[in-house]
Formats: sequence, structure tokens, C-alpha cells
Amino acid sequence: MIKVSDLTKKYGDFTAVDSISFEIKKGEIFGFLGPNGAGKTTTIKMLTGLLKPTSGDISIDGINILESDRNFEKVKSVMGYIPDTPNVYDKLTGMEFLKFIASIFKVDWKEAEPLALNYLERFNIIKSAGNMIETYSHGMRQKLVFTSALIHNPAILIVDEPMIGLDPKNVRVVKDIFREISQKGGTIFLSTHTLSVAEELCSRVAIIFHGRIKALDTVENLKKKVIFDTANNQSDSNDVNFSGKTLEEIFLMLTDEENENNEPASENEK
Amino acid sequence: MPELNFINIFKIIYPKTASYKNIYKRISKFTVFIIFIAIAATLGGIYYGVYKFLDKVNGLYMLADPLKNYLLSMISFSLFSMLILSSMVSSLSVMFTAKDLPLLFSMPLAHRNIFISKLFEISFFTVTSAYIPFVTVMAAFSNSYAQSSFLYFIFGILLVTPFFYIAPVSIGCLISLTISKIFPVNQARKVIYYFMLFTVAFLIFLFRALEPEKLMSPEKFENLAKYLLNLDSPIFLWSPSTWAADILKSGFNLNYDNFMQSLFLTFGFTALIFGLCVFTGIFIYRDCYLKYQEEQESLSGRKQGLLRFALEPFVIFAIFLYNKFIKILPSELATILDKDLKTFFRTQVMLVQSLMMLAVTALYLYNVKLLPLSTQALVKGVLDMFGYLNNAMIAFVISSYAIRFVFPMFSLEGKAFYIIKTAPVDMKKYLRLKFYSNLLPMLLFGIFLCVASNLLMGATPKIFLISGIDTFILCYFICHLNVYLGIVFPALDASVSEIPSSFGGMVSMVGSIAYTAILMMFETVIEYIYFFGHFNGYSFNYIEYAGFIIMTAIFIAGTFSIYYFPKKMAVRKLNNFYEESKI
Repeated sequence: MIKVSDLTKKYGDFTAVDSISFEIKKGEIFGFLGPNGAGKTTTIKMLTGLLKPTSGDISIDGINILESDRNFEKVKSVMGYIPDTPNVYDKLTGMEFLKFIASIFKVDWKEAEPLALNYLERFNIIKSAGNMIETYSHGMRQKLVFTSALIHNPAILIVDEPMIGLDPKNVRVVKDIFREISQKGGTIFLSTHTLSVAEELCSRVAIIFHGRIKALDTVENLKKKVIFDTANNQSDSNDVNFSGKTLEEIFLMLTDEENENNEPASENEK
Repeated sequence: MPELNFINIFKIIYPKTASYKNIYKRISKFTVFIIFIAIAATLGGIYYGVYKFLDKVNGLYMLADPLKNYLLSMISFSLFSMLILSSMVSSLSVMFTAKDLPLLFSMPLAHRNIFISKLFEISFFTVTSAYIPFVTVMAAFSNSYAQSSFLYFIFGILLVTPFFYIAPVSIGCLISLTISKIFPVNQARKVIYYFMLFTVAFLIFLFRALEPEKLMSPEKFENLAKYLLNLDSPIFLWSPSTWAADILKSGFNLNYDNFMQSLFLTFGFTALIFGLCVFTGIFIYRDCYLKYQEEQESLSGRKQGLLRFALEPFVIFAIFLYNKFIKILPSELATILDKDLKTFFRTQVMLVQSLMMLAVTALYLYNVKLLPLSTQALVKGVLDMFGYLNNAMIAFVISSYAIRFVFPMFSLEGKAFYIIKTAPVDMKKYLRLKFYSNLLPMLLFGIFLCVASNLLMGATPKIFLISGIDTFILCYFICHLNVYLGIVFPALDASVSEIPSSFGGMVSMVGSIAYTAILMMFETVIEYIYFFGHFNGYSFNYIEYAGFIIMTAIFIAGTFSIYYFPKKMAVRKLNNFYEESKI
């Protein structure tokens, strides 16, 4: 569904994303993990068309989106994007905002309305839907952005740090929604710091560090690989016990190891 | 009285100064140079215009000095009252809604120091942009006196600068704080806006009641004494701005009759009002700020007011017409326009500015009506000259309209622009929509102003036609400039009222004025050649041909620049928006 080949983004001399490649299948929830400044948001912005790559290719559903604006426009209508900060139009009401989104995605409001009401209900913000967004809390805005990204039934959902500002109950709702989308054949690209969420939801994860993908596999395979690699590097592999490792520990191992071998991350965190 | 820590005050101001320094570093030297040239040209134009006008006034012999004193008091009073009103609006955003306030209040800083630092911030940003043109006008005044000296001009300006930087800001903040203490802060915002509106209306009424245009026709007064009595208007006598104007007059004119008294009154008043403001701020600012935070937490929904109820049928009819109109557009563009209009009409600052614009327009048209054009035996050429002046004034009003309503339109999109950018919206169509949706109301406003002022003036058909063409050209290109520079220099973190005074806003304003000046000069050259050609049977000499060719080239180059470069920069900015804006 999504194919990224040798994708690179440079800001002057600084390389934010360095020749990354991966492929995501239809119906997959793909986790994209990495520490601050690793290049996650830059990658997401390239996938959504907010940034132009320096080089490389992005194909979505077989269409090379960098080839022409028309290609990108076609793809955008089947894509939903949830950014890390829920910036919306403060002077519209929640419902007006959803109508606006439906309209710019060329979806008839009659089709979108039942979906919108369903998600507003599940996120427990239906009573506030008639209020101006400027009166919403951060969490309510986040839930509204979630709803807006889902009302046109996107085949691909690109999500940047989805759990920020959500209480445990709503985190549960989000996880349920992601599973439902995946079961219906939707593809989710999920960038997160919440490793437990990635571990629970994602069929595969990629760990990006200093703009390069350091590991890409299922969580189980990653655990096995790290155990195997680390054991090979130990003088006495029998002393090493990796049983019961979590994704968090693997993440820290991979990124710590790099910290020792590489220069510190640039100030220009993207 | 609690102790003030000036080291902490400067520490609080530091992030602002550092961020401005960093912005300056990011701009290329060439851009800085161009901006500097444009500002210098604008100020030079102001200086030249005022100096030429005062030169004419000097020709009135005995009446020259009293008339110039009157004008000086009037300018000083206008600046003083304008700064009070601006400070009231700025203080609401700087002292209650600024994004750095939660951080500052959570730090180990005394709230009195936060208040003083915010007072400095309001003072610097509110006064400076108005004070530079004021100093330019004062330079023209100083030079118009026979005894003028650069040293005495500097001396006079230095003496009144503390007054203009401190007194109006202190009064404005004092009023805002008091209103915020009495009313809930969210209501205080409305109260202050309407208070401002009524104050402006009151000042306009006072100015009109004085009928300053009568002073330009001394022959209408029965005797000199009556004329001089008219110059002593009470509105100025009781204003502290008059004491400051007296200091300036003494400096420019080397006449020190009332100097010490004015100096004492000016500095005494400044110290008193500043002390009162600081004292009040120290005791009530924190309470007002905390009250505002609580109100924000509990804010929800809108109450149905009586006025809204009364206007409901008209609103329903307007919405009906609007819905019919909007169906003409493709659906996604209609949606974006609908969102823009809702944002505009629900932003209170925009509504208040609309009302102010209407008040200024009404005042201008009333002034045109009062001009003694029909009562005097004016030759057609002089009437035409007034027609050109009217065109320049219309251009100025159009520029003010553009900077207030057109320039901020992209900034209002704000950080939510990613929604448009990630949606299947054609960016070229989006740009066209932004341009034409702003051009249409601006053009209607410009045409109204043009037709009404020319009818009131009794303009000749030639001037009517030129004025119409000018209005169309100016609306089109000034709108073009403001829409695209609004994209090139978005003020995403500024409040709505601060957007026009942002860096990009100033560039747009200077650009609009510069283009207007080019158009006016072009027409002046043509009119000059045509007028004098009349006396020599339209046989032109080489200098006249050269003047015409040079001015035409400048006009074409100016029009091309204003059309091509901002659009090119805006398209580039939209393509690279998330690389350059770092959001």
C-alpha cells in the first residue's frame, strides 16, 4: 500500500532523513519509532506532502506521489492525517469543522454525518460539537482531529503521536478504532513514543535514529535479532539473559548503542 | 510599596529582544537594504509633503505662527489619543492572552516585575511605529521656523519622548486594568472595544465641532481677534499633549515663554500617571490575570443577546443570499471561503476594525463635503488638483483597509494550514480564491469611496474617470500585494490586532504607499505636461518627453514588480511552507 524507497531529506548540511526504505502492506498497522529528532515527523511530513523530499520515491497504492501534483491530489483524498499538535480553526464549531473537512475531501455530508456522530459519541464530545473550538481543551481538540481524519473513510491513516493529551479511556477508544480500521483493510502508519501502544498494535515496527532506519521487523523478530546480535558480541554469551525483554528495552539498546558510536544529535531537530 | 527588581524586569524582556535579534539575523542583507530604502522614501515623502504645506502656511505672514501652533497641538493631541487607544487594545493581548504568561507566572518572578516588563513591551511596540512618522513630521515643523536648528529639534524631541512613550501607555493600561477588574476579562475585551469605538466617535465629533478647515480661510472671520480665538480650542488646552506640543514649539521657535511651565507639567503628569499605573498594576494585575484564566476554563457556548435577537431576521436573509451566491463556486473552494468568512465575522477585533473603518470613511466623506470648493472661485485646474489629492487619500484609505483586512487573511489560517495542504485542494485555485475573495469587497469599498467623494466634491468628468481608473488599479494591485505578502510573511503567533503591525504588515504598508506614490507621480507628470502644453499649443520639449518616458517606465516597472514578485514569493512559500515556518 505504501512503498518508500531511498527517501532522503536534507536541510542544508543537516540530513534529517537519510535514505530510508520500507514497504507497508494493506491492512497493516506499521509502527514508526525513534527518539526526539530522529526524523519521524520529517518522514510523516514527506508522506503527507507537507515537505518535499530531497531525493527518493514514495508510492501509495502503486502511484508515485512525487511524480506530479495530480498524483498527489488523487492519493490525498484517500489519506487521513492526524498531526502531533491538534491545530484547528478556533472560530468554527466542532460540527462546522467536520462539515468543512467532509467538503474539502469531496464527501457528501449525508454520508459523512453518521460516521462523524459515531466517532464524536465514542470520544464523548458530541455534546460540545455545537460549541466554538476555541472553548475546547487540548484533549477535546485532539479527539476532534481524530474524528475529522476518519470521516472520509481513509484507506491510509498517517498518525503522529496519537496519544498525547488523551486520558486512558480515550487511549483505549483510539486503539479500538485503529484495530477496526486495520480489520477492514485500512493501512495505518503510526509514529509514537508510547512503545507499549506500538507493541500492542503494530504488526511491524521500524526504529529510526539519526535519520536512518536501524531496525525493521515484527516486534518478536526484533527481540530475537537483538538477543542474537548482542550475544554474538559478548565474550561469554552464556552470561547474557534476554528473556522477557520489552520493546522499550530493545528501543533503548538500539538507540544507546548508536549514541556511543555517533555524534550527538544536531541542534536542528526536525 | 513592594520593591521592584529591575534586573528581573530586563531578564523578562530578554527573550523578546533576543527573538527579534534572531529574526533580523535570518533576513538577508539585501532585504534589509530594500526595506530601509522603502521606509526612508516613505518618511522622506512625508517630510517633503508636510514641509511644502507649512511653507504655504508661512506665506500667511502674521497668521502663520498661530496656525502652525494650532496644527502642532492638533497633531500632538491626535498622536496622544491614538496611543492611548492602541495601548488599551495591546494591553489586553500582552497582559492577559500572551503565550509566555503561563510560563512567566509559573517562574519564581514577582508579578509586579512581570507587569512592569509587560508595560515596557506595550510601550515599545505600540509607540515606536507611530512615533517615527511623528518625529518626521516634527522635523518638517522644526525646519519651517525661521530660527530652526537641528540641535534644537533634537533637544525638543528628546524632551517629549519620555512623555509619549510613558503617559499614553500608562493611561491605556490603567483603563484596561480597571475595566478588567470590574468586568470579567472576556467581557472587558468587548467593553474596551466598544469604549474605544465610542471614544473615536467622540474625538471625531470634537474635531468636527472645531471645524479646523475654517482656519484655512481667514478672510471668513470678521477680524483677527476672532480668528485667534478660534485657535485656542478647549480640546487642546486641557490635554497634556498640548504641554508636550508647547515644549516642541519652544524648542523649534526658540521662544521660551512657557517652556519651564510646560516642562514641569509634562514631566509631572508623566510621573504621576506612570506611578498610578504601576501602583494599580502591582495590586490588581495578578488578580485580573488569574480571573481571566478561570474564565477561560469555564467558557462555553454563546449567549443569545437582545441585539442578536433583533438582528436575527436580517442575518437570516443575508445568509440566504450568501448561500445562493456561494453555490456558484466549486464546492471545496466555497467551503474554504465559508470558513474564512465565519472566522472573520466571529473575530471581534475584525468587527471593531470594520466599524472603525466605516467611521474613518464617514469622517473623510464629511470632510470632503465641507471643503470650500464650491464657494470659492476656483479655476478648473485647482479643482482638478483637489481631485488628485482625493485620489491619494482614497489610496491611503484603501491601503489601510488592505493592511487590516486583506493582509491578515492567511495568518488567520494559522497553524491549521496543514489541513488545506494535506487535503486534495489545488494550491493554484486556493491562491486565486484568496485573491478574488479579498478583491471583491475591497473593490466595492473603493468604488463607493471614489464615487461618493467625487460626487461630494463636484469633480469634473475627467477627474471622475481618472479617479475610477486609479481606484481599480490600486484595489487590484494593493490587494495583490497584501494577499501574497500575507502568505510570504505570515504572523502565525500574533494576535489578530498585532498582525498588521508585524514585520510583513509593515513591508506591505510601505509597498502599498510606494506604489500609490508611483501612480500619483505618473499622473502628475502627465497632468503637468498636458496643463502646460495647453499654453504652448501642445508642442512639447525634450525634457517633457524624457520626463514622460522615465515616469512611464517607473510606473510599468513598479506595476510589474508589485504583480510578479509577491506572487512568485508566495507560491514558493506555500510549496516550502513547512520547511521555512518550522511548524
